[in-house]
Amino acid sequence: MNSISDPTLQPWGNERPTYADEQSYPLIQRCLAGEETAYVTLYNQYGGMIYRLCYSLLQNREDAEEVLQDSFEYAFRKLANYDANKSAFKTWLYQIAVSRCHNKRRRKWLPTFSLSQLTNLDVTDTDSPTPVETMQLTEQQQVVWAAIQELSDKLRETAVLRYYEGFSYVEIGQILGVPTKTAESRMRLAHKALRESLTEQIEP
Amino acid sequence: MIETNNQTNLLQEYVLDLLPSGEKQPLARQIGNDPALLKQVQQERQVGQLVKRTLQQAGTIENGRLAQLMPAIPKQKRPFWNSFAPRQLAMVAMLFVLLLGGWQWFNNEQSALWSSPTAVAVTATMTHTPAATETQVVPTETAVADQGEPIVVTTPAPLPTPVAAVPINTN
Repeated sequence: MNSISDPTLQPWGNERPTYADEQSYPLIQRCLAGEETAYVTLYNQYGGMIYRLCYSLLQNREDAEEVLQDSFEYAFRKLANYDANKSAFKTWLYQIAVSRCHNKRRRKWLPTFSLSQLTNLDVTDTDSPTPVETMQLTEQQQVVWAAIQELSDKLRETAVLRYYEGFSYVEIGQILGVPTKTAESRMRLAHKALRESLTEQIEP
Repeated sequence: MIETNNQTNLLQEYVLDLLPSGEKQPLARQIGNDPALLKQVQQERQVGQLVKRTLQQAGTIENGRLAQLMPAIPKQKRPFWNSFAPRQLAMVAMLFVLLLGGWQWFNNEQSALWSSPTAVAVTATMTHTPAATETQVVPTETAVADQGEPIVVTTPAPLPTPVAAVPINTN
């Protein structure tokens, strides 16, 4: 019977890359070998997480969907460039998604109005969640959501990566392209701001 | 007040896992022994829990929608010869062989039509200075041994033969 500890049976052979995990690394190898089902599995495994990240950062469903698609399209195309010695696959994928969220935000910085909006003078804020979206949240969650929205972009992405995804500060630094110390100080500020906004929501 | 603020900051650092392990362990012991500190830590932790629950709820996407959004799987880059079907490849190979054969045959035909005569080297030698040979004839005498009665026959010495120089034409 084959033992799992046998290095020749591992997808990384004798030398295991630093960040190669047993779940995604073999999947990546299968993708690179041209196995289509492996791509689907990889997408199903990370798609939901990436969407949630994008939605948390952009607070707009359409934008989040667009960025999700764009991020995976890029990740699939550049999968051979992923280096398991530099970062974990999840970190690499989040890095791609966060960078695309930045681009999306930058492009949306200049407000765009359709002609019908100009004629009807019905200029709505496209960033605020639709009534259907807010209905899905409880009253308390709506307050928390509003508190998250009040954070600056930099603090919000740090808080999301730490609280929701549980990334370490080193990983947050890698994803956001900032030093670890910067990620730590941003987290301190984000926590303080949220703590202040959510005082009434916190059980005594 | 300052002390309270410092304590809050320290507890926030503890909750956010920002303390060095040297400071973290004694503080953890202190929190374990002090219910007030423990309560404060739990309140700080609630912030993270609330944010996590809200993001989880707000960012849900139906599986059907997620599947719809999956981008196209990239096509594997194959060597260009793999992009042809085997039948096409066989046809191209056959055409190539035919062309090569045709070219060879054409070359052979051409060489037969335009064949040049064999070059033969002709060497002619001519001597400009006529050579003359002069032979000096020395008269010879033959002495015959006496075997009885001596018979003496005297042979007159031949006349010297004149030799003319003849030019040699090698052509």
